[in-house]
Amino acid sequence: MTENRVKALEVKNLKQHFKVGSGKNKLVVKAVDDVSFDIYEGEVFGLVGESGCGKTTTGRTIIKLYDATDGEVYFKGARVGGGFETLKGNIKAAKKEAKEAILECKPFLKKQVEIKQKYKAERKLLKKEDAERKQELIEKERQELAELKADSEARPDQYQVDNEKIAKIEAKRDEFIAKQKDAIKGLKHDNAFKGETYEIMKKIQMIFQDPISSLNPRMTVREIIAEGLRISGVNDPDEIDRKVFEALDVVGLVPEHSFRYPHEFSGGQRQRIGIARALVVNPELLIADEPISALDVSIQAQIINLLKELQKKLNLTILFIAHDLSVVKFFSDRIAVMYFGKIVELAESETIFRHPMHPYTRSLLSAIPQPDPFYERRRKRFMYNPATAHNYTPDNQPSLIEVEPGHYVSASEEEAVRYRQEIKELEVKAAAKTKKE
Amino acid sequence: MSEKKLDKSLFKLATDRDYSHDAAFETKPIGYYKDAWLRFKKNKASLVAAIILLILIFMAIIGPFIKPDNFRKNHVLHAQRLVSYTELPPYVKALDWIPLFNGKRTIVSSNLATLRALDDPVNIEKYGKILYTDLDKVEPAADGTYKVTVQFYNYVNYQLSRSPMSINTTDLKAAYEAQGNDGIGRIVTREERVFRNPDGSLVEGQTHRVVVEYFVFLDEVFDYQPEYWFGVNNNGYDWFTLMWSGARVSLIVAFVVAIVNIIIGVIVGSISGYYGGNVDLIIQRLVEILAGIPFLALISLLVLRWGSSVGVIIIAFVLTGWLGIQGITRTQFYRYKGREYVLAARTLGASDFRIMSKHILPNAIGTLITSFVLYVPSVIFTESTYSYLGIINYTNTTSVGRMLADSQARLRDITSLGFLILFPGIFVSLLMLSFNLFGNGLRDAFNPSLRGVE
Amino acid sequence: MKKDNVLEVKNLNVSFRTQQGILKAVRGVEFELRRGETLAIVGESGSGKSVTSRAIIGILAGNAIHDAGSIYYYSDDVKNLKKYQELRETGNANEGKGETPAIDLMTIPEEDFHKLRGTKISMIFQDPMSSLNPIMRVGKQITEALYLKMGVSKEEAKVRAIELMREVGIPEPEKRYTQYPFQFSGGMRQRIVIAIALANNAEILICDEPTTALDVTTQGQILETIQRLKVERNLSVIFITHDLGVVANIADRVAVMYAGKIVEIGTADEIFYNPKHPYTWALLSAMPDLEFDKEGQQLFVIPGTPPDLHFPPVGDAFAPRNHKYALDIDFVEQPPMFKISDTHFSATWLLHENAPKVEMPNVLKARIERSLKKEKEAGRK
Repeated sequence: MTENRVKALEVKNLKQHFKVGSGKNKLVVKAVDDVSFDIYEGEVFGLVGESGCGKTTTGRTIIKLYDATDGEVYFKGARVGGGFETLKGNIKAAKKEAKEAILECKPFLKKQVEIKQKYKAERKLLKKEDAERKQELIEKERQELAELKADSEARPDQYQVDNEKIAKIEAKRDEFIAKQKDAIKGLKHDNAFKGETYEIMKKIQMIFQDPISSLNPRMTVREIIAEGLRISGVNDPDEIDRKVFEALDVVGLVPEHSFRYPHEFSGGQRQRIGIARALVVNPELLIADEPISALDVSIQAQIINLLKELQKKLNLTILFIAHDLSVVKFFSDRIAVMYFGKIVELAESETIFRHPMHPYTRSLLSAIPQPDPFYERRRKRFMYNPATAHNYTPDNQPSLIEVEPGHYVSASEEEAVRYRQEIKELEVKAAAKTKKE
Repeated sequence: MSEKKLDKSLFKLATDRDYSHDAAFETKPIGYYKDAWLRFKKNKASLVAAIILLILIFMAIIGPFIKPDNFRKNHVLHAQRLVSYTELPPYVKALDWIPLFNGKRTIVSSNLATLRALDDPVNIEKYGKILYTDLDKVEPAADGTYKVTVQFYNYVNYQLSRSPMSINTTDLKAAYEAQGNDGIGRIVTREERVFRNPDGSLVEGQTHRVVVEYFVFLDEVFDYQPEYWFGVNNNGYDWFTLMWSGARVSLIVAFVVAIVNIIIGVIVGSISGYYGGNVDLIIQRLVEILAGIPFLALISLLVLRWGSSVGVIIIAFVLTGWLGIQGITRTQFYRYKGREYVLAARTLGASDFRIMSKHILPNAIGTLITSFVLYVPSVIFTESTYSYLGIINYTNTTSVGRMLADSQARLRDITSLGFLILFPGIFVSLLMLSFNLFGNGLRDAFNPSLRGVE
Repeated sequence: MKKDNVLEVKNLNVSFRTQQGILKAVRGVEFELRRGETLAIVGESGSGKSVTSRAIIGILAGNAIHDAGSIYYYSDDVKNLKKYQELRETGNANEGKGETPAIDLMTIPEEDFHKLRGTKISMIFQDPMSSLNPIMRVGKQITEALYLKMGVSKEEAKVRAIELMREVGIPEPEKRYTQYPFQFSGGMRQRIVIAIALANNAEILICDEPTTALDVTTQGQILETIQRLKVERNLSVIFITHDLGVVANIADRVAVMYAGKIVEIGTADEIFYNPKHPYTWALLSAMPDLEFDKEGQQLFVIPGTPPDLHFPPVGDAFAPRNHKYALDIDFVEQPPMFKISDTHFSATWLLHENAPKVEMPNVLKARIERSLKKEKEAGRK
C-alpha cells in the first residue's frame, strides 16, 4: 500500500550535534543521532517522545532553523538541506591517509620518524626522576640519527624518494578532496534560504508550541498573519486583507480579530492564529511542533480537529511532533517513537498501540492515564531502564529492523527474532478472539 | 428550585445560533503604547517629572526671547554709567515679598559716607533726607565697618553720583537750585556752616559752606526701573537670559549626543547580538578597546587640537558614548532572537534585516527608550562637569557648567551673591532629577509584565 | 459538621480590578473537602479553579476583591489563631456546629495566615523551577520551611529534611541534600517541592496543576508519590487540573468548574460513568480514545472559548458553546444546582422536570459502556 505513494519528505541519517563547553569540558550533545524516515504525501506522521529526546530538534533541523550536522533532507525529491560533517571527516581521513602513503615513499624521512617515535615512546615510560636514563636515551637517539644520516649519504640509492608515486598519491588525494568540497558547496547552497530553495521551503511551514511566545506581542494579528505574504512581495493592502480574513475564517476567527494584539487572546485562539499564519502561504508540508502541549485538554480537541479538517481539505502532509500518545494515535497515520536522539520504533499507529515491541514504547504506553477510574485503578506502569532492558555489546548493536511489513524496531538481531515470534503469537491470539465473537 | 415562573416554552433546544466562529471581542483594543501610557499615568512622580521637563525644555527654547536685555541695548550711550550695573540681585516686582526676589543686598563698608541707604523709591524732592535714612541709625560693627541692607537697584543708581564736596558760596539759593552739568543731574546741598541772623534769614555777603553732592539718577535718565529676574552677573549679563542660553547649549549637546549614540549603539549592538559567534566576538573586543580610553584624556586632546566649539564637544562625546547603548541592545537581541515568533519569521523566509527591525527591535524599544532617557542627564552632567572644570570652554557661548564655574569665583559673599550659583545649580539638579524620575516611570510603563499589577 | 469536613466553601465570590474593568473570576462556588480524601477540581483556563485555591490559602493578588462568601476551616489548630481568640471573647467562636473548632478563612488577618500557610495548609504549583530558589541548596530550602515555622533546631531540621526527601522518593537523599535545583530533573524538583510543602505536617495539600509541565512517565511517578503520601499522612488533597486522565487516576471526588462556577460535583465514579452536565460530557468526549478506530472519527469538540468574565453572562455561561444541548432558557436564567444523589449535584436546566430528554453524545456513551463491561469481566476473573 505504500509502494506507489509519492514521498513528500525524506530524512536520511540526520544528525544534529550541539557542541557545549570548550577545551577539557567539551561536550557533544547528540540531540538527533542518525535519524532516517520518509513521509508520504497526504499522510500524517507522528513523531513522539519525551522531553529531551530530540523530536523538536529534528523538526527544526528539517525546516532549517538549525544547520544540520550531518545527513540530508529531501523535499519532493529535491534536496533542501544537509550537514557535511561526514564529508569533512572524509577530507580529514583522506589527508591523513595520503600523508602516511607519502611517508612510505620517502625512506629517509620514514626511518627518521620511526626512530624518533621509538625513543619518544620509551621516554614516556620513564619516571620523572630517572634523569640519567633519560639522558642515556637522548644520547642513543642522537647516535642512531647520526648513523642514519651517514648511511643515507653513503648509500643514496637506498634512500631514493619516489617522486612519481608521490605525485600520483597527491593527485588522487586532491581529486577526492575536491569532490568532497564540491559536495559541501552543494550542501551549503541548498542550505541557504535563497532563490529556488526559498520557493521550495515556502511549501514547508511550521506551527510552534508555545502560544504565548510564538506570536510577536508588538504586532497586530493582521500583521502576524500577513508576514509570509509580505516576504513574498505581496504589498497590496486589499489583497492582504482578503487573504488574512480568509485564513482567519478557516481557523474559526472573525475579521474583527485581526486588529487585536496577541495578548488579548486565549491560548487556543493564539494557536489558531499561528496556524493561520502558516496556512496563508499555501504550504504542502506542515511541521506541527507540539502545537497542543501548552493548551487545555478541551482546547486540544479543537485544534486537533481543525488540523484534521485542514489536512483533508488541503491534502496537507503533516509531521506531528508531540509527547501525548493518545492524541498522536488519533491523528497520525504512522508513528515514530524517539528516545535520546534515536528512533526506537516506527509503524502504523494502529500497530504501535496494538503490539508495541520496543520496551521503551511499552513503558510509554503504560503511563498514559485514561478518563476511566476502573481502568486507572488497575493500570500498572512499567519503567524502562535502557541499561537492563537490552544486552547490547559492541558486536551486538541495534539498528532499525523491519519485524513485520511497515513495522520497524530498533533492535539487535537476536531481539528481532524474539519480536517476530511475539508478533506471530499475538496475531494467532487475536484471530482466535475474533473467531469466538 | 427558584420560585420564579419559568416559561415552559423556554425549555427547548436552541439550535439557531452560529457556533462555528468565535465571537468578536467586546473590549476595546489596547495597543502597546496605549498600554504603556496607562501604566505611566499611574506613577505620579514620573508624571510630575515629565511636566517639569517639558517646562524646562520649553524655557530653554524661548527663555532668551522672553526678556531680552533691552535696558542695556536702549541705553548704550550711558554705557559708562552702566558699567557698575553689575552683580545685581534678582528682582521681580511681583514677587518682592520673597526675600530672594526683592532686589536687596547687604553692603559692608568702613566709610559711612559711601553707604547710601535707600529703601524707598525715589522721591526727588525729598531726596536729601531720604538719601540718608537708615544711616542715622546704623551702628558700626566691632571691626569698625558698617553693614547696611539696601535696595541694590536704587543703590547702584545713586552710586553714580560724585562724592560730596564742600564748597563755599555766598548765594545759597543758587547752590540749592543748581543743576548738574548735563542738565539732568541734581545738586543736593547740605548745610555745613551757614550764617544766619537771629530771625533766620541769611546773612548778606557772608561766604557759607555747604556740602554739595552731584547725583545723576539713572531712573530719570532711563524711563523705568529694570527688573532682572535672576539678577546680573559680574560681567553685566542678564543671568536669566544667559542661563537659558546656557541651558539650551547643554540640552542641545545632550540630545544630539544621545540621539547619535543611540543610532550607532543600536546598529552595532543589533549586529553583534543577532549574529553572535565570531562577529560578536570581534565587535566586543573592539568595544572593550574603545572602552578603555579615558574620556577626560580624549576630550582634552580634542579640545586642544580643535578648540572648544559645540561641534567638537559633540564629536568627543559621540566617539565613545555609544558603548553603553550597544551593550544594552546586544543583550536585548540575545534575549529575543530565540523567541518562537522570531523562529516563525525565519521559517517564513524573512531576511535578517526584517527580523531585526520588525520583530526584535520593537520589542526592545521599551528598554531602549528608557536607556535614552536615562542617558541624557548623564551627558548633561558630564558636560557640565567638564565645563565647570574649564576643560570645555566654549568660545562664543556658554553652558550651565561654565556659569557655575564663573560664579564660584565671585562667591565671597554667599548671602548676597548666592543667586549666581543658585539658579544654574537648581536648573541642573532639577533637570537631572526629572530625567531620572521620568526614565524610571518609562521603564515601568514599558514593562508589559507589570500589566495587571495594581 | 457531619462527615468530618476539613474545609467548607460557601458561596465564594471573588473579582479582580483590571484595566478593563471588574473581572468576576469566581461566582458563587460551594463545596466541601473531607478529611483524607482527594478532591479534583477540573476546568479550563479561566474557569476560576486557581483563584479558588488561592483564596483558600490567602494569596490572592493585590487587585482582588472578596465580594462575598466564606471558607470554613475545621481543625484543632484553629484555636491558636488570633482571630479565633477574638471571636471567642465576643462569644462568636465555633461558627460550625460540632466539636472541631472552625474559622472563616476570609476573615482572618494576614498574621493568622502566616500560622496556617506552609504548616497546616500547603500549596504546590505547576512550574517546579520557579517554585524553587535556583541559588539556594535544596536541603536548605526544606529546612527553611521547618525551622521558620516550627522553631525546630537546625540539626534536627536537617535530619527531618533528609527523612522527607526519602519519603518523597528522592534516591540517596544524603548526597542530594547539598545540591542545587538545576542538578535535578523536572520530576525530582517537583518532589522536592512536595517535600517542602509537607515538611510541617500539613493537613491540606493544594496542588495547582503540578504535573501539567511534566512528561507522562514523570507524571505517573509524581501522582504515585502524592497518593502514597496521602495515605501515609491522612492528607486532604485538592488537586487542580484540566487533564481528566489524571483525575481518574487520583480523585475520590470531582468538581467540574466553568466560568467561575461549579457545574457538576460528585464522586469519581459518578462523574465518569454517569455525568449529567453537557460541559462534563463535552470534556469527557473531547479526550481521544485509545480504543477507538481513527478512521472517520472526529474528536468531539467544544467550539469557541470561555466567556470574558468582564461581562459575566446573564444565563448559563456554557450555553453559547453548547450547540447540541442548549435550551432557550439557558440564555436567560442561570440554572441552580439539581440533586442527583446525596453526593452528586449538577447545575443544568436539563435536569429540570420541564426539560426535554436528551442523551449524552454517542461517543461517550459507547465508551462508558465499554469501560463498565471491561470492569465486569475483570471482576469476574
